[in-house]
Amino acid sequence: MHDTLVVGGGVMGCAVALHLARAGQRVVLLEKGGLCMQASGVNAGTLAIQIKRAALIPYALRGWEMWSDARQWLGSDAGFHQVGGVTLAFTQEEAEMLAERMEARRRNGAPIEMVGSNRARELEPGLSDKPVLASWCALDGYASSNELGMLFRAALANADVEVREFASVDAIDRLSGGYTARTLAGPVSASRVVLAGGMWLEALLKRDFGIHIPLICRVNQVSVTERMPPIMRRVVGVATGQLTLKQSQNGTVIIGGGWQGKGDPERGGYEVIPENLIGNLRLASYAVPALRKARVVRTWLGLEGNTEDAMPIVGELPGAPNAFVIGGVRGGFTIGPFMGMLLAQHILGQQPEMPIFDPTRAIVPSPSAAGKTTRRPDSAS
Amino acid sequence: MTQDAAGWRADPAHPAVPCVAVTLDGQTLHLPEGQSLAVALAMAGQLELRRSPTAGTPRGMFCLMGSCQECLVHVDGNAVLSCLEPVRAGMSVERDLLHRARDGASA
Amino acid sequence: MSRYDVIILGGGPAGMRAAITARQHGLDVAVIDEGQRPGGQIYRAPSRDLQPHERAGATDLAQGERLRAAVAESGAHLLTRHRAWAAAPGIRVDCIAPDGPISLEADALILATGTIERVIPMPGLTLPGVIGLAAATILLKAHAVVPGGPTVVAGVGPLLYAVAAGIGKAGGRVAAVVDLLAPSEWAGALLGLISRPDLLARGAGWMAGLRRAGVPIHHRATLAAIHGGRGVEAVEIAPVAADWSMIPGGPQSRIAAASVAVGHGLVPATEFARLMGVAHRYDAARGGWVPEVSEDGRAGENLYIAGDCAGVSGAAAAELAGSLAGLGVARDLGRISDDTYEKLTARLRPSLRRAQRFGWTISAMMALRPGLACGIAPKTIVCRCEDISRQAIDNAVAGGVRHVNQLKSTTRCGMGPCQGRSCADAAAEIVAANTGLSREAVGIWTPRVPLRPIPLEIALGDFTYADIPWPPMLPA
Repeated sequence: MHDTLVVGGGVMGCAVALHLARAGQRVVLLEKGGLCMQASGVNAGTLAIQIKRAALIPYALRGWEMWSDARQWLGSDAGFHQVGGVTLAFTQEEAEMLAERMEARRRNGAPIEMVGSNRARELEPGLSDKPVLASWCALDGYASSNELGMLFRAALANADVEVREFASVDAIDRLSGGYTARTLAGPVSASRVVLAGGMWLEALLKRDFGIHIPLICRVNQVSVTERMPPIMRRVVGVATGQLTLKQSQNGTVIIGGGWQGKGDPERGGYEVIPENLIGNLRLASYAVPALRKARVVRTWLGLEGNTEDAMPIVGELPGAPNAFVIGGVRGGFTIGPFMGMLLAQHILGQQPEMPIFDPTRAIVPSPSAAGKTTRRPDSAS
Repeated sequence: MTQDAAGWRADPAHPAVPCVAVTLDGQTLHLPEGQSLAVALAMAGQLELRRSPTAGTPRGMFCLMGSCQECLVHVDGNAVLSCLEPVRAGMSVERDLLHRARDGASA
Repeated sequence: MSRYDVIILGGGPAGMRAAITARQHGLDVAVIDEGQRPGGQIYRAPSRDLQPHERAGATDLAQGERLRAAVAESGAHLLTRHRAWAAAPGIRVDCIAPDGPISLEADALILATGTIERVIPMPGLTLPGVIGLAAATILLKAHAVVPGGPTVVAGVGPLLYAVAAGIGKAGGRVAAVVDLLAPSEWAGALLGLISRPDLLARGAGWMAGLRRAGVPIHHRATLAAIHGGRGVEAVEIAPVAADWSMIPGGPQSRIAAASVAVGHGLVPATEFARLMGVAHRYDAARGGWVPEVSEDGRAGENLYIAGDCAGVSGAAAAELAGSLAGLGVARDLGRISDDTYEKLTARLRPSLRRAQRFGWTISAMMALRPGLACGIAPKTIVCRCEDISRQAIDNAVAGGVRHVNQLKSTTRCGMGPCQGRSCADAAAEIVAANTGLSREAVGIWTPRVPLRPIPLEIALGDFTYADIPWPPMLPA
């Protein structure tokens, strides 16, 4: 019998497992695919304070700190690079939006300053002459999301977490004293369960707990060019938040910004929408014109499950003692490690460093769900 | 190469193709018009088209059908696969811009 | 957006025949092909006027010209020099055309994308002057150029002898043929080829030519290494066992060479089928991963897959499969009745089965054996695009990698501009061998659009800020 069973091996599930294990718990983690092969591993890897939601800035700053300190807790720098970022406004309307949005972030502690277009071009010589206003944050940077699965696999093994990849959970049963996951390779039991299923969380909660937390399925397109000579050095974004752009150390340029493709939890991301790809690339080349000489070699899709308010859910499920949930936030890469630590602190009975996010607010009552939860006997643990 | 080595050359059973002037990294070359650029460069003794991105080992045309991407060059500033690109009079061909930019940056 | 009844991806034997058949039943057809003219690889159109007499591949050239003439007369829209980079159910295909990006729509899609060549790496494979066997046939047939000599021709399958004979005929010099198969394996396969006396005679002609020229043929042998600094200087030939692993301590011979043509079989090009969501299974005897299709090539609603991309079976079978796919679409789109369809296909199916029996004999003979990739040395580059060595793959597997998609994200193997086409088989074989898992279990890379790199200069066109199709904004 384990102390904690974590279902879902993305950045949040891995981080919870790692912190619990380092605090002495016996932890088992089940992942239906490979570690960090979904949104956690296929996002653009941007660590930009300027694109975080204002209300989450304190969390994003702590998340950023954890990434900058990844060698300490993850055993590798995870390709972290702090290069600074500029966020651009191309019209007067966007300039007003940019000033307003950045002011809200600044009020919550983000070290962001507004700069004129000339200063922006000094900071990022690759920019076109199109921006009319920009903001600057020296913290912005990126990490290698694609390496994350490998890094967590090693770190979790070192912390004696039992990791089972390619292990689908057919059902989670509540038994007296804990929870048992049914898998093809047999049952896995623990005193408590952490559900960290990303976009697949909604189905998991509905099937095994009768709880309905609707998640909006965002199917984010990310593209990469082949290696190019250096054309830019910062993270470049836009006022609306619909562009992230940076050149990695290897010379490839990664282009994101949440332009949507087609996908669903059953099939995963299955179709890039060419108009959205071209739109994303046009916007990128409008900001950094040297991109026009690039060839795009790959576009991929990552499924992100957002709650209706796109804010996190981190905490215990109502009516299901010792069952915890983590996820639901938009842009979970930056703050994921910190969220995982907060939930681990909560589970360990410590006062979390910052307030966690009660999932109750996101639950939509449904008759069948209500019946199912009340029928379950309380756990004895 | 061995003593009896011979270059990449046209099958003599076929009529010769008229050559046109192109530049390769700034040097003028005369290549058969309409011939695949990669093949024409091989016939001119220019098998090496680029260096690999990390190890920097020499690379040349390999699949001749637009799949492997090894024969990438820049023609008039644009990245093209030289195996699929016909030779045109006056075209400016540049090789290995990636490494030349890096070499320039480190010089 | 242009709209057609049916889009055919690929203008080789299957695609051209599908187009001709679909046109016969009144369908509005678009054929998309990357080449200057349709033809595919085996019937590849010459890049310039060539004398059809006394050349390697004259038979293929003649058959190619016949098909090209028929497809041109059929009234199908021949969209050559169009590089397709995405396809989606619906049906929609996106291409880069010579003058910019275009999207095409249709009621049905026929995939006739042919094959790519498998080359399992050895030291020196990336040297300039080393080309694929398929590339050598293109060089000889479409460009009428011989590689710098002496040339070593190595690998497996009939192309070995076609290329070696072709080089000799065109005035080049072949230093050696290095064949993975034993003479007894060829003899066994010949029994399956009795139905095609024309091809047997052609093969006999190649062999006689090579014997006359005194070209040494090494059977049950492989290229242990290709040596050279900036180009090919010599090759090392080593004997192999029945599973194509090099025999430890076996006698190696080094011979001088200026070029190498090497290929280890053909692999169905399934990227578009996988993009369309078609299920695939691994079948080494048909070239590798093949789509699940009916006998008539039906893969789904208004979706057909014809020719070698549905499993390597050769040009003759590809043409028949193309006809069947054309008829299938005509039936699905209501142009012919079920009865007519049955009547017309009943005549084709026996011929298709005969042609397939022949083609499958060849592809089974060329099926990849485990020793070849297992024997790749630690320092040998497996992923040409990213310079990823065998050692890096071994390390990743030792670190817990069990699927090729994991391998890709942890090592960058298969992440370069060729999208993993060049190294897919070698990488998957190594992961399978090191983990003890099957090729099915270690999987295949998820196909990613664009299936060929797209130059932004062409794809983006001229635009203003107002032309950017903004998605709805999210809350800050």
